[in-house]
Amino acid sequence: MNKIALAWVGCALALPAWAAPNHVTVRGDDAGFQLLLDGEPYFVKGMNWSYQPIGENYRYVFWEQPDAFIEAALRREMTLLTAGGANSIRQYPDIPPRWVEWIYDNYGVSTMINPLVGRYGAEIGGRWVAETDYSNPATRTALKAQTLEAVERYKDTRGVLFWLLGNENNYGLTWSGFEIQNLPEGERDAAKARYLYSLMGEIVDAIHEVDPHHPVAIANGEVQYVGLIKEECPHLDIMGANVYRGMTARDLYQVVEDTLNLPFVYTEFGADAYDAKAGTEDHVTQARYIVSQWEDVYENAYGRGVGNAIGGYVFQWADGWWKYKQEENLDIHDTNASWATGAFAEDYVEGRFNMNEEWFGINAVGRPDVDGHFDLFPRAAYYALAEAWKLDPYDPKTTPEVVDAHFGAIHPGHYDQAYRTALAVGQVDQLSRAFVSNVRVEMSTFATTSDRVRGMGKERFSFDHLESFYVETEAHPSDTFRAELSINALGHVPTNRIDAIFYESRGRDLVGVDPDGADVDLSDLERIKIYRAAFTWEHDQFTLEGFFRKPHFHWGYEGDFFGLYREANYGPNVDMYNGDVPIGVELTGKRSLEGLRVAYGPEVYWGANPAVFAMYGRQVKGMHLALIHQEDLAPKGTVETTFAVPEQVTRKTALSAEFKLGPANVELGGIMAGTDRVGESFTRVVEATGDDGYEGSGYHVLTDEIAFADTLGTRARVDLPLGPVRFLADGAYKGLVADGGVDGTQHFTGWTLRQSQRGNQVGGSAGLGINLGSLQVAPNFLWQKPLVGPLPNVDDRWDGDTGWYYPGVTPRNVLDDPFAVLENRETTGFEFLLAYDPTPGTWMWAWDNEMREDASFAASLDLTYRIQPTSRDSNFGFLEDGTLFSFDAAPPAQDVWDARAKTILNPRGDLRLILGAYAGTAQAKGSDERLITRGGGDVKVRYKSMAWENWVKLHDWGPYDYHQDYNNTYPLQVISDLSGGLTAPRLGTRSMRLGLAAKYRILNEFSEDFATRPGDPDALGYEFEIGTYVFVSL
Amino acid sequence: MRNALFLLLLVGCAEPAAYQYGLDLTELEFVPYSPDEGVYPDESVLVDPNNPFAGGIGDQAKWDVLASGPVHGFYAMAQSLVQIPTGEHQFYTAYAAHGIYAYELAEPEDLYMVYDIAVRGYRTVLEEFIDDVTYDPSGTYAWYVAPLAYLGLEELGGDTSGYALITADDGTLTVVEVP
Repeated sequence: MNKIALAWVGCALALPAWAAPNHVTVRGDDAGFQLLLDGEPYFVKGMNWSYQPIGENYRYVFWEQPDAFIEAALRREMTLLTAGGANSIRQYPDIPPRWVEWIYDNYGVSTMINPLVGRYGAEIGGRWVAETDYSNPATRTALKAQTLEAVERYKDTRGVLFWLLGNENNYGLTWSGFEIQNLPEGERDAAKARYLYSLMGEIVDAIHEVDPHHPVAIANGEVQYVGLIKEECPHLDIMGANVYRGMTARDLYQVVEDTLNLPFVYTEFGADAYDAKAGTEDHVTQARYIVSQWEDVYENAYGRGVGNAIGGYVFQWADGWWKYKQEENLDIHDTNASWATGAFAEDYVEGRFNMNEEWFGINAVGRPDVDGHFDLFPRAAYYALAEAWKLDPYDPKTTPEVVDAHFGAIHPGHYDQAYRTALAVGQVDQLSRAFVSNVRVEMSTFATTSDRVRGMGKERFSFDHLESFYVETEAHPSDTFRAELSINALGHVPTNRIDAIFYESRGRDLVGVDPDGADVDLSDLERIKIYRAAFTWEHDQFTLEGFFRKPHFHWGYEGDFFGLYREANYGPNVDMYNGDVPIGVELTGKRSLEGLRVAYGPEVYWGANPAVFAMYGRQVKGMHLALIHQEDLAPKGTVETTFAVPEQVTRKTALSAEFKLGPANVELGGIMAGTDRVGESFTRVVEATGDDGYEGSGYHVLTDEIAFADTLGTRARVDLPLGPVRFLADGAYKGLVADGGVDGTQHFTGWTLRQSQRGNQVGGSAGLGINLGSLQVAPNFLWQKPLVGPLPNVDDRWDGDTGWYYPGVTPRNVLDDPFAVLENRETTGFEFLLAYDPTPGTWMWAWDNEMREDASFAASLDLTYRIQPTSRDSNFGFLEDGTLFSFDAAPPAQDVWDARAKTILNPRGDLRLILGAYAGTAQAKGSDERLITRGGGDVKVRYKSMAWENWVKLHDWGPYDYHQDYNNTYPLQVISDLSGGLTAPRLGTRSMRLGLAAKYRILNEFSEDFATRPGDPDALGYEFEIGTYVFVSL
Repeated sequence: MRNALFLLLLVGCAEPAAYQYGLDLTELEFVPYSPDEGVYPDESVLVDPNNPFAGGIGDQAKWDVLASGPVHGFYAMAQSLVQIPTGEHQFYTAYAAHGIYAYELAEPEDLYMVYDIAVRGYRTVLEEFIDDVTYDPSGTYAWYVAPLAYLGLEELGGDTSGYALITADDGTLTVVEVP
């Protein structure tokens, strides 16, 4: 026999000892009655317990919820219940037997099973009968069968204490019939009651026949018809009743003893916690009543007083917000009383109801979280009962004097503060589920002038102001769900700013024309706008994040080797151009879904078409494999800026592997993209040799088609650390339409020279990082070349003599052609990077380094030179009316260089200096041929909470995308901003600040808004703006 | 062998690139593609298989083509109208259609449609581009196109209601809206 078999035998032997139903009996002698549970006296410290979240009513069935939900709720509830000393609950026969056992096994709490015996109607002969006629033979048969069916279901269940039949059925004798109506009016109810009790008696007997282990009680309304009960229920084991007599039951025990000679259990008793007279909650008085009622029980328990009290079930465990009207105002704690009794004298007023059904809980109820669970807030009665129940009524030392002293020492008022504190904590928790997290007020003034404004002195200035308000809210409906919403509202929007495009400019006066030609004021259309929204749901198997104008990261480090899912972090641009991006949802798998990433949305990054992205990555034998797919669903409709022009709808799939090869980290990948463009035609040119080519252009022009091979691409990257030297090589070959996205991953240094991820190219980069102590020297090299070069401009021509037309050739663009040569233009680039950073923990190349760098001195110098022997295809621009168009040409082949230096100084803890300088040459994004040579720098000083920031640009583009598109440059641009606040500026927060800001620009013929001065064609223009701002952030 | 097959699969069976030469438009005929072709804001000329300039036409070529006759001129100007919607392009598109109708350069059953295109094209100049101008070949002198369109409408018996042709003291013609 092996060990497993032995274990089985052990279990089998042990089974009867703990798996059998409890044996419950009633013992009576001269001292009174006791309930015995498995032979031991059992004083019933019971509770009318139920679980009903606010907003639900009697239709809510707790036991039909998922097991995990039930168990989580029971763990909270039963822990509190037993901590308060209770040992039994009352349940209708909808509780699954396994939960009866679970509660008993885990918490020692027994269950009184309560078939209702037609109290609120019954199903008779297959149909629902609302008014139970206990005289009807069919009804009697059905009710008896239904009750016995319940008994059969539970009788072998551990934890069942006894059977309770009905619930004040004597108050529901409403049926009428020929036989009843013939009786004198005063006898009708008694006649009906006899039918009721005779049925009860039959059922009691029937239960006894099938279940020898559990006694039977009834839940009578008070002790009404107790004589009939004696006559019709001769074998009843326990008399039970719902009793609301105030402080004590007075003669109740004696009546039961004298009439029935049975033990008595309260099936309901208690008091409400609302003072109907004062119109306020009064849980201390409730506790006083309940303590007094239990003192009464103790005084009449076995060995004392009448001796027949065996305990009771307090009504009730928690408030039921549904009880008044039952179908209405389910989420309102109704304060309407619905019945009256003078037994509760404190709030009794003749002619008015004083019993508030929704306030009978010894616990107040909190609002449910998203899972449906809720908190309870114990009232004074809970604490007082816990204290009361500490006394063992069956201890021989528990004399009447001891009972008196014990209960006399309980002062419900002492628990008032505990309840109020718990309630306050709960209310704070409730409020923290949805709250205003911040309010920001931004108020600015602007005084502007330019050479175009005529006048003298102050008349030259125009003055305007801006008010912008943000309300930021957060919601935490549960520990696993969080949402935020930020709304912007506009006050006045200025019209005089020299930078006319800004977030609030959407609210400028706007006049439209209706179909009848009348002006329509459209100014208020966007005065209130959602600034940002997001949510996060932490599920067991995944994290789901929704974002609207909230940045998200790329998946480059998880295996998106071709950068399909791009990082969406646009800094001030997203406000400047009023982009409602990114918008979408992102799912990150956990546990069994580990490695899965899914994103979906109308524009998950700026310029994205509506699309779904899915990636799955996992470790396989020392190698991380990742598969990603992008499926565009439709073209994006609008374009806000030319740096985020959506490309054609397409699909892309990429597979990558990352593994160690000796000390080297190797990444390999393949991509298939643009398969839907196979067969599309495109134009290309080849240099003409021996003739002038097409239309004298020097090129032959060919029409070609995208083939399947053009959709394929591959990429490899090796990162090899060799002591103080680290080597990085990256190479790719990509077919004409095998476009990747943007590689957002960081290297070990801050190189700017990177191979484009666009298709139609072959190339690679290689660089070294040589670490000499705190100094890093990092040379880098790039070469890339398109497989099919850009198109030159060839004008079309009509030959009227022959009737032949010679179509022109214009550069391609990404919307009208299957591919275009843009940032993948032919380039041979060299880069030399020097960095000195003695504290690499605050990485010099981190985006937030200006705030975080903690070295007393850190600096970098980056020099790049790009040899560009050919041009590129066409980019897009906006016309003044917002129309998007493709430039008909591109700047010529031109080499460019760039130099950038940056220094961060922290001479003392509260002072920081940031110095930057740049110079170089650059080409327009549009078609302008002029190569600009630009330079500039910035000086930022931060001292304690003060900040003084200055920028200077020489012959550089203006602040907007179209300045670069159209090659609009300014001889000089200066910005200075001095501000102070309560705290130093911090990342990610808008602290309270007061500031003074100024902008000055010199204009020449390349500048926007430049106007040649009549009579002085060489004169330069200027524009100037100075203003103040106040940012108030709570 | 398997590698070679795989390579073949990758490369596929695309047609070899074709050299681009000029297009012989000596036989070009006017076949209206849609009733709104050449009338702003319609863009059906872009998908008209008979339009030889659907790939785009340049600034100089359109005038050269227009000078060669109304059929070629219609397609050149209708294409230009879509590329850059101006009164000038709309007027010359209608003017070319007017010519096709007047010289019966389309099939008889299409002539009424051509007439309608010309009339609605002129009318569109008045309704959408009343302040637009056209220039002489030197680009120096400009004329409003609306008076020319108004006269064209009158010649075709089209609807000029809502507009009036006014001659200024210097002899300049102007079209104004009238109630």
